Amino acid sequence: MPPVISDADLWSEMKSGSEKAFSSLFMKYHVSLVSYGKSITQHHYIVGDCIQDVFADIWLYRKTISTPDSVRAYLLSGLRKRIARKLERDQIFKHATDIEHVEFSASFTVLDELITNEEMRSQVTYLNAAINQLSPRQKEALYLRYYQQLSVDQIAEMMQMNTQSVSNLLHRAIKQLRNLWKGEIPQLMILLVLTHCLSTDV
Amino acid sequence: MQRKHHLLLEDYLQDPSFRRWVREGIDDAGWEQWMKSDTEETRLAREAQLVLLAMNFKETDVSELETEDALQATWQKINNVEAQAPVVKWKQFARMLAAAAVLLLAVGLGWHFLNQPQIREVATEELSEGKIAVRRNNTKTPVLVMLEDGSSVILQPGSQLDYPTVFNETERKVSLTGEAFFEISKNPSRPFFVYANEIVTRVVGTSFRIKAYSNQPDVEVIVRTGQVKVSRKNPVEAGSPQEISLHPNESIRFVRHEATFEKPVIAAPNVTVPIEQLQFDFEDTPISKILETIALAYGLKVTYPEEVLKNCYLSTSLSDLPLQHKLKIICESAGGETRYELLGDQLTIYSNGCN
Repeated sequence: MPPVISDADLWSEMKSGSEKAFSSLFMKYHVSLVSYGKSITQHHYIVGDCIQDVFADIWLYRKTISTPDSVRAYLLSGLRKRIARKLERDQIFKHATDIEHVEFSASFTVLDELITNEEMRSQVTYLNAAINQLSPRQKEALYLRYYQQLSVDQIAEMMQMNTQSVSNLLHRAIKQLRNLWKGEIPQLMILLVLTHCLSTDV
Repeated sequence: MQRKHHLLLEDYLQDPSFRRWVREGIDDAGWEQWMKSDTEETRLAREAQLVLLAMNFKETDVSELETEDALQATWQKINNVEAQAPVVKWKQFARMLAAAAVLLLAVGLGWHFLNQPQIREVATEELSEGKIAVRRNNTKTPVLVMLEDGSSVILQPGSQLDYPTVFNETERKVSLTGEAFFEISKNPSRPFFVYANEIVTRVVGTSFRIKAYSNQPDVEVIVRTGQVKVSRKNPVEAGSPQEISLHPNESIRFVRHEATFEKPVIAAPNVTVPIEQLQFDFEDTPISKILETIALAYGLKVTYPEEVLKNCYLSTSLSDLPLQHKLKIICESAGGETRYELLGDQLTIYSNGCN
C-alpha cells in the first residue's frame, strides 16, 4: 500500500508547484464532488464543468490562496458556489423561465449490508423514509454534517447561514426524527405526513 | 480503543469509533457487547445506530477512466487560461531586460526568463454557450472593463463582472459580484440592467456605483449622474413592482437578511472614491490636463504628443459619459488627425495638432 499523504501535505506541495500533488487531490475528491454536485442541481451536465473550474482556479491561484482547515470542505464549498453562480448566470443571460436555485434533491439510502435482523430493517426503512421527507435544506445540512463530516462552521459558510441557524436546522431535523421514533407505527405514518407538511415551509 | 459514552444523539453520530462500527462493521471498542445491555445510554446509542443506517448516501458511479479524463480536461482548461494571459507586459519586459543585463555575466539569460513568475491580473473566460465573459479583478487596483455598447465599468479589486460579449437587441444585462463604478452609454431603446446579489438596477444612460460583495450584509447603489431604478431580483409578491428611483448623489442600501430597502439618502461626498470626486467639466483647459484627469480616473497610462498638443485648449462637459465617449469627444474637438487607441490600460493619443 502506498503511504497515505495528508491533505495538508498535498496542498502545500501543490502550492509550491507540484502537478503530482494537484492530480492526487483531484483523483481523491472527484467522485465525492460529482456526487454532491448532482445532488444539488438537476442540470447534471454542468457539474463536471464546474468541478474543473474549481480545480483550475486552485492551480492558477495556487501561489496566493491560503491553506484551508479542511480541503474537503473547501472543495465542496467551492463547487456549491460555482454551481449557484452558473445557475444564476443562466437565469440572467439565457432567459430561463424557471428560477433555478441550488437545492439538495438526493435521497438518502439504507445501509443494508450492516442490518442484522428484520425488526431493525423495518425500523431503518421507516426512518429512512422520514429522513427523505425532510426539507432540502435540512437534508443538505445532515448530509454535510453526518456524511461528509464537516463542522457546523464550515456548513454555515457554505450554505451562507450563520452558525446558530445551522445548529438549529440540524437540531430540529434530529428532533423531528426522534419524535417520530418514539411513536408507534400508525402514529408514525401520521407523523410522516405531518413532517412532510412542516418541512415544506422550513 | 476507548469507548466513549455520550449524552446527545448527535455526539454518537459523529463519534469516529461508533461510526466505524455501525457503517463498516469494525468494532474496535466493544460496542457490540455493550449494546446488548439495556440502559438509558445504550438506548440512545441504538437510536443513533438506526439513524446512521438510515442516512447512507450512494455516491455516483464514476470510473477511474472518467476521473482521469476530467483531470485532463482540467489541465486543458488551465493551459487555455494561461495562454490567454499576456506573458509579459512591455514595461515588465524592459525591466526584466535591465535586470537580465546585470545577471547576464553571472547566470545567463534563460534562467531568469524561465523563473519570472507569471502574474495573472485579470481572468477572462469565454463560455461556449452564449459567449458570456467572466472578468475578475485579482489585482490590488481598480481595472477598467469596456463593454461592447461603449459603456465602461471600473471594477474594484476582488470583484467580478459577468457580461455577454455582444448584448442582445432589446436590453443589456450584466451581473456583478463585488464593487464597480458604471458609466452607461445612453440608449433608451436598450435599457441596461445590473444584477447584483438580490437586487436589480435599471438604467438608460448614467453613472453610478454598486457595492454587492457576497459576504457583506448590505448591497449599496450610489448614483452620480442621471436616474436609476432599483428593485428586487425576485419580487416578494406578484404585482408589487417595488421599483425605487434614485437621483444624482442619492444612495440606497438593501439589507440582505431582512430583504428590505432602506430609505434613499444623500451620499456623503467623502465616501465616494476618486472618479466621483473628479470634475469632468472643463473650461479652457489644456488637453494635456484633461487627458491626465481621465488617466487618473480610469487608472490608465496615457501617452500623447506633448509638443503638438501644447497649445490646445478645450471647454467641454464630459461628466455623464463613458470613457470611450469622453475620448471621442476630446479627439473630435481637437480636430486635425487626432485619434486615440486604447490597449489594456495603455491610452495613446495620436495627433498632428489642433485647429
